[in-house]
Amino acid sequence: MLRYIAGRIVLMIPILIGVSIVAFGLIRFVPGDPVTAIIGPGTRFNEEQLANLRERYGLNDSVVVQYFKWMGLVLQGDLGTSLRTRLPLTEELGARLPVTLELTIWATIIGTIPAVALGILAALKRNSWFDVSATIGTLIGTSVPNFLLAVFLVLLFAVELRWLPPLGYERWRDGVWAHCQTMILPALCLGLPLAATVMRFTRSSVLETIGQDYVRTARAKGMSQRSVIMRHVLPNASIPIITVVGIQVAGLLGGTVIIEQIFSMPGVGRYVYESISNRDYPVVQSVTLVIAAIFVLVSLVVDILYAIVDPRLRTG
Amino acid sequence: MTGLDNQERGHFHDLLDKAISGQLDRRQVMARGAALGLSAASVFTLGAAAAPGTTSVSRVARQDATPVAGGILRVGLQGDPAQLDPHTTNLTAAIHVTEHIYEGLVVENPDLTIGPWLAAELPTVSEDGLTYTFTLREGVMFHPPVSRPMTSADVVYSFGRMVDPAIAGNAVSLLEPIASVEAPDDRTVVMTLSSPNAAFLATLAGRQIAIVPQEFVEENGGDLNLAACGTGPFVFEEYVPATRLTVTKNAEYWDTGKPYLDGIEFTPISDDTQRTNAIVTDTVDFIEYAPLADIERLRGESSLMIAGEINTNIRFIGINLRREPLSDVRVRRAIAMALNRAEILEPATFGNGTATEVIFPEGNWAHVPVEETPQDIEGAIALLAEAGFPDGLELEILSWSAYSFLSQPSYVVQSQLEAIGITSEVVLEENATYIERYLTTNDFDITVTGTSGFVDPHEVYADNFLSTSPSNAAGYNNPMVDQLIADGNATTDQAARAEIYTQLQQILLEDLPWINLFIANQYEAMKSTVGGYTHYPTGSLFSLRETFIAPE
Repeated sequence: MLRYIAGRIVLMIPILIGVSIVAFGLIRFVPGDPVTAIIGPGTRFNEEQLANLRERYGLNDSVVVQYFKWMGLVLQGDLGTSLRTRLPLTEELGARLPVTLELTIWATIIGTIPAVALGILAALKRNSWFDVSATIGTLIGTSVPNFLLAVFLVLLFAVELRWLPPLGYERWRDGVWAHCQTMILPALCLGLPLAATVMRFTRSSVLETIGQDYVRTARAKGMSQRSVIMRHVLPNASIPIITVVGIQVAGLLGGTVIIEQIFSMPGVGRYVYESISNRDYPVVQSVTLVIAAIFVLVSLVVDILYAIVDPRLRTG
Repeated sequence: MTGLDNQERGHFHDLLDKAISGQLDRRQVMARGAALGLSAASVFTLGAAAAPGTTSVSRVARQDATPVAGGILRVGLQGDPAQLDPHTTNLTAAIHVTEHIYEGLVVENPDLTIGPWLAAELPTVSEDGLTYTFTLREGVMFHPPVSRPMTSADVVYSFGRMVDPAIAGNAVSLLEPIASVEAPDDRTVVMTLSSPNAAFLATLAGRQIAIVPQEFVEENGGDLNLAACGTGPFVFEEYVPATRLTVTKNAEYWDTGKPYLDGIEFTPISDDTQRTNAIVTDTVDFIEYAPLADIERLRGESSLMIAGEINTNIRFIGINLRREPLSDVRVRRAIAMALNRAEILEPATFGNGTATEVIFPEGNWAHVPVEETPQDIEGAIALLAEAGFPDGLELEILSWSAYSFLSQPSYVVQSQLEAIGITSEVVLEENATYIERYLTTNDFDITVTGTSGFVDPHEVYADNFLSTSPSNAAGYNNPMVDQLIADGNATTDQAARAEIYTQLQQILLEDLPWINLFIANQYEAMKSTVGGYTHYPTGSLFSLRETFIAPE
């Protein structure tokens, strides 16, 4: 098991190097000059002043030199400095990453635990009214984009019912309840579409497993329904569910870009969105790298979960 | 009001209510009054009621209530105030915070005249217009931890910092006219210019021109982005990135009795709809840039008030004169003749804007009244044919993807040009690419764009039409215009300047290096308990220092 995990971690290194090159190169391919974007159209600079600025931001070096300078910093745990806010990125991410991760975790909880339970129930009560309404619900859930969902939820819970704030963020230290209140709507917007997908997969996966010969055998042996489900159906049905959850959770990080923007959350998604429009090279490349590292870690966790669920993968 | 029958009187009072409460603007009130058959005199009364104070079109929210001290005002900003250094920031959201912490020597009034601020009075100017002598206000203290009186040495230091290449300041080009800043004694500052400059005081009223204490800058390693210390009515308290920024009352403020508020809590809300939701749901007490699409809805809320009207923003079609066939004035004129401005401004302003062919709106001293050019499709087609394009031509319309108030009008312009045989494609670019194409490489045919926040007309003329200006994206070069721009800045007599600018505007209307489109209104929305607030046509929130929260 340890060897399996170690092998996986070694594999992460070339992936991250690849990501760093792509992230670094891609933002530089986009037309637009960071210096003119940063000073904005309202301020006039002459050529000399512009050249000074480029020099200060290290934009006069060749692209290769810039890349290795950046990598040198990253290896020392320094992600660089934002061109626009002139603040150190390590600090900035230290404050923002927890928000995005917490949002992702809440969304994952909303999107998995009840969804798996409801999916199993729908499969067991196949074609019942419950199953039919669950199927319709998942269809809506997977087809409504989360920004639209955000509009509906805000109108309902914030504007009409006044139960929750329409936007904003409160830190844990500013009050646990205040914090949770600001988390609920964004987490629902991210979590509900995930729940719909997970529920649909759980239902079909469980249905498929129930039809297998070994389940019929177990039933023939006289096992109770409960034991059959817990011992035979669920472990076998869970592998495709884990795969889907793994992919979807990693995808949640993309969803945070829009949701954080709508709800004014101080997370990484909104930060990188603003930085792309400002051509804030250091932010875009470093945040992409960090998000890629998280992505890779999530897939590692998924792989480890596979190994736990399916003993064949541990040795294979 | 004699001569009105009862029904007319009813209409009159109804309209008057709407005018005063700001539900209808001046034009709307007068148009409806006329439509209802009210006498010319009563229509005029209505118009005046809708625009108190006349020239400045700002509307005052609840000026009548008696100021009450205390309370925290929660303000929704349109962006994250992420760069607090007043000398380097270019973020409007940040400027709308720093203007309460830092102050300058002079300031613009809501009617765009210039008044003294940290200077005790307007400076004395030498005969030749080159030497400005300021006497500083007494009793002005810096915030803690500096806590000492501000002196002329601080002014000299601050002006040095603004142009220091090491900080890459935002006022470098603005301050180029200054040859020297000296402090003969503690309360006197003498500035010498290299040539007379009528817009100089307006330049000094800019929020970048802030006085900062040297020792505080040095303690913070030269970085004022996360720390702040000025002389303003509010003291910087805390900034939580992308979450909130708080300032608290400066108890030692020189303008005794102000500010009224105990503090202000700024929350960045960049999503337009969410800014509306935030004020409607009482999440904040005040929002800037109340979305124009939501003005109707906000006016319908009895617990809210709206301040503001015409703004100093200008929306126009920029034309690249370097390119064939746009270098031909007949083609440009044909484009101008094809336009129907009322249709163009609708999707951008939702009825909250004013079409204008001239740059400065009615009410501004540099306004030039001109007769409206009616849309003339036939004439435009004939003019195009005369220019050698009887079968029309193809163009690209460049605009901003980030600003729907510019991209939406682009599509209306596109369809109006279609009518005279100009086939065009609308290309929307995001900010950095747009700026590069428009200002740096001048890679565009025509563009629907805008500019905003001017105080003095010179800024707009010099920036956009001076042949040597880097922001002259049109590539416009008319020696006569260059001369008029220089003349307009060389005299301080406003009447003489207005005459020069009238000439200038008329030449621009002939040459059409850009085609003016419309001015969008700008509004702030607030709880009806908020008093004392005055809208600034520059979009500034300067008035929060005299704003208070009145008991219900």
